[in-house]
This record gives sequence, structure tokens and C-alpha cells, in this order.
Amino acid sequence: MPIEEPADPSRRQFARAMVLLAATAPLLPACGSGRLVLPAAVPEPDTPLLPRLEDAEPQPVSPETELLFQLVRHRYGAFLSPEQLEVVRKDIDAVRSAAARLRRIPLGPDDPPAAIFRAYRGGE
Amino acid sequence: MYPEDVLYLPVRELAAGIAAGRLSPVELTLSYLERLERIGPSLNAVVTVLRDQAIEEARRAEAEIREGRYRGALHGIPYGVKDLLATKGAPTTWGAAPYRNQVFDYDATVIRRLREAGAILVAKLAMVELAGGLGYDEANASFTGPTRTPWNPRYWAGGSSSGSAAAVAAALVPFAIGSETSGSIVTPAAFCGVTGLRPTYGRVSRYGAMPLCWTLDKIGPICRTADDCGLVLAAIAGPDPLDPTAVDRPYRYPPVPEIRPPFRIGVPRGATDRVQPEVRANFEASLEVLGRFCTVVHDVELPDFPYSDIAELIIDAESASAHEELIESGRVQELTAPGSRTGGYGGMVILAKDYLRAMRIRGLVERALDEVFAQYDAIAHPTRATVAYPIGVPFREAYPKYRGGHPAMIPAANLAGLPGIALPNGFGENGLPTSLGLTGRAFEENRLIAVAAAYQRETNWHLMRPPVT
Repeated sequence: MPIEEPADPSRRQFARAMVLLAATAPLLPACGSGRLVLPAAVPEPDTPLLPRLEDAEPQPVSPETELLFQLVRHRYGAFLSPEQLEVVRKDIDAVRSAAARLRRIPLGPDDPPAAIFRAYRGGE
Repeated sequence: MYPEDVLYLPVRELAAGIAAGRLSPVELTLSYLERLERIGPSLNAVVTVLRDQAIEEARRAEAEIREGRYRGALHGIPYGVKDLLATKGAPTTWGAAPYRNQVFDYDATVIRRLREAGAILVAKLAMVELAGGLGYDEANASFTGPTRTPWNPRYWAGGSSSGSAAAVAAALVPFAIGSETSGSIVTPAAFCGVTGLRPTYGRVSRYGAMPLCWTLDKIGPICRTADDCGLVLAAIAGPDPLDPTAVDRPYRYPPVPEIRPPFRIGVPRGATDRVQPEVRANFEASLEVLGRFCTVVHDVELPDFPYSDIAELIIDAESASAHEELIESGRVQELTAPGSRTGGYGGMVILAKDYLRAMRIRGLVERALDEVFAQYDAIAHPTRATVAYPIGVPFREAYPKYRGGHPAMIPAANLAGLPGIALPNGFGENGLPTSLGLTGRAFEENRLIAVAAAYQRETNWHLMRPPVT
């Protein structure tokens, strides 16, 4: 069975970058003060000029938060000041903490998402 | 121009005056337009006044009524709408600077239905930018400035349906339309001392509304009375082929048969923990009033879930997706509140499995809550733990001692798509209103309205007028 290509190629690149990013996790600094290190196979970011973080005061966050933060910095860093990046880092950490709390709630395979998909048939 | 005594009347009484020929839709429209233009700017409540269009619609309504073609309670009644609903030919700004010149070539379903009911759209009303979906921590979070509660101009009107609540409170319009994802109708209703109804998810079509969170967004009325909320909801509810989430479940107001007391009201354990003393006192006084026609059951145990965590994760993920283009382009930096400029980035990296887990737990939440809510006509609680926040102070610093009762009813009810109504029940510090919240089982808006209307027959908080002239 053929696998459907994503409509937007950049999404595919983004997904590949995510996979590689996870695979290279040990290469990343535990607390973000350095530039994100990406393997050569990953396209250069659209926004190559990353803001310096030296002036901000990064708080300790989990390695998982740090990975996701580096992804944000990689993709959107040119839009954000060091102070804003630090806010984003805290936001991501808050989401990771919330997600960790949700993992304590037991779920079974028969607990589907509370969202309904309906097959579409035009004109009805 | 009609005097204040007329302009503060509920829709029900304005409608009776119009039907009897005592009140003119044109004169009413001109009177509210005058207040919108004179008082609206001082409250930062209005984005666009639709003067010419409104007068034309009012003249048409007046002619139809004179010719005996009376359409019902909203015919000839002016109203305002939160500026997140598409309105053909007029700016629809979503409260956000990047969209200040946005104009749609179609009407939202709610606007179309209200026009068919004969209501007259007089203004697009202020709102928190993007309905607060990208986060904010201060009142100044709209390109039109912080909306002020008419009760004290140094305090915020609440959000995100800020202008809708402030405009009703100051009699700039007799009713308004707001929207709620998690608190955006009931909070401004509470802070402005008016009555706001959050309908069940799916009760009202969102076609033409700015999406913030597809699985939580709801549209509903903000009025002077609970009875008025029923009148407006009846005009806007119903299925819509343009919004597949709008359910085909009849809504009729007034209900037949009538829903009458005695009612059974539950009060959650911990409902007044960590609320301001005046909020607690006014809530307890409200329970005494409810006790005249309700059986009040105290210390009801609600299911223990991390409601705020679940709601925030879902909203963060969906709002970042809905506004992905704004975030990706960097134009999010044009927003007013510093929190809005950064808040979307965290949502861009929420893992799919975490979003899905939140949505799976949501299924457990709605079933567990329904088991409890099925035993009561309504669950009563303070709508908010505090009175309105001061303008110019970060929210987190405004009332740090008061974090709200347990459980967090606003995210819990919104996650489960449950209806709720907020109604004024007294005053707290700095002359600011407090609010009684009633939350009900899915699709039981009329039961909530019946309880709220009975409460409002016993009290006069909803008749109080703020010090604006």
C-alpha cells in the first residue's frame, strides 16, 4: 500500500528534524546556553541568526523541556529576544509538567480521544 | 432619546414595549448608538459602531412591526457582538493589531440568525486579542486597550468577551454576544455585574467565529437577566450545515412544559476555599436565597481530575495550530500583551501523544461529571474567586492569596462542554460586583435559566446600575 506524502514538504522536513533531534539528544546541552547542533542531513533553518541567551537567566528545566525548547529556538529564535526565549522555556516546562501529571491517570486502549470524526459525503 | 430607565430595561420588557407600540426600534437604536459613542470610548468597550447600517435595519424593523409582521421578542432590539464574529462588510479585528483591517464578505451564522429574528446589530465590541488563546497576564491585551468595568474604571472588565459584558452593564446595548473557550463569557459577566450564559458545546454554530480551540469554543449571550439569555439563545441555537459540531437537538425558550421549583442544587466541597471574604459571604447569602425554593445539598464530591492541566494542554495545542501562520510568520510580535507574543510557541511543540492523552482523559472527565450532574438541577459555586482585577497589575499579583475554589469549575465545565450561567449576587471590595455561578448537565440550559430566573425574582442585584452616565 502506498504511503501518502504530506501535502506540505516543509512539514516532512520538520518531522525528520524532530526524529533526528531526538536521536541526537545526548549531543545537546542540558541547559540551553549553546547553539542547537543538528546533523548535516537536516536542512538549514529558515532563520539562521539565533539570539544570544547569555544575557537571560535560564532556570533549570528537564532535559525533555530543553530538547523542545531548542527546537523552538531553532525554528523561531530570530523572532524572539533572549528574555522572550526564557519565557518560552518556562512555558514549555509548564506544559511538560502538566503532561507528566496526566500520565499518572490510567488509560486503557478502549479509552479513545473525546473527539468525533465523521466521514464526509458532499451534499448531506 | 429614551432615558436611562428605558435603556436599562431587560430585553423582555423592551420587546413588550415594541410589540405594544410604546417603544420605537429607531429611537431605541439611536439612544443606544448615542451611549456607545459617548460612553463606549471611556470604557474601551467598542471597536466599531455600525451607525448607518443599524439605523437602516431599525427603520426596516419598525416598518415591519407597524405592518403587523412582528417576528418575536428580538424584533427591533439593538445588540452588540464580540469582534470575533465575521460581519459582512465591517471590520472583524479579533481584538488583535495584525487583523485590525480584516473584513469578511460573509456573516457568521449567529449574526445571520439574529438578523432573521429582527435584532439590530449596532456595534462590534472589544475583546482580548485572539480571545486570549496565546496567553496573557494583564488587562492591556487588546489593540483597543484594556476594557474597564463600568463599576470602577480602574478595574478590568474581564475577558475575553470584555466589551460584550461592559457594554451590557453600562446599557450601551441591551444584550450582546460573547464566546467562551474556558471562562470568557462567565468571567466578564462576573466582573461587570451582568448575566452571562455559556451554552453547551455544540448548541450554537461557530461558523464565522474566530477559532481558538475547536473542541472547546462556544458562543453565547450576555444579558441583564437569565430570562433574556433564554430569549437570545433560542434565536441563535440549532444545527448548521456550515458547522458540523452544531448539534441537531431542539432548543425552545420558554420551555414547554415549564420547569418549576423545587430545584435540587449541589454545592461542591471546597467551593469557597481560597476565595475573597466578600465572595464567600455573598455566595452563602445566595445559597440562603436559593434555599427558599431549592433543596441545597452541601459538600458534593466532584471527580478529582487535574482539570486545569487538561484544559490548558488542549487549548495550547489547538490555539497554536489555529494561529500557526501568525506564529510562524513572527507577526505574533505585533500583539499588545507581552504574554500573547510568546504564548503560542510552547503550543507549537506539544507532543501529539500528550494532546491525545489529554483528549482521552477528557472522555473520562465528561462521563464522571455527568454522573454527578445528573443528580442535580444545578451545581452552585462562586463564578470567580475574586472581584475584577486592577488594570496595570499582572493578574498573578492582583490577589495572590485567592486562587479559587476546588475543583476549578471553569476548566472542568468547559472540558466537559457543560452549560453555565453567571449572575450578579452582590458587591465586594472597591464597589466591584461578585457573581453566583450555576453549572448544569449538558443541554440543560433551560434548567439553569429556571433556577437563575427564580433567584433573580427574589433579588435585585441584576437591576443595579453602575456609576456611568
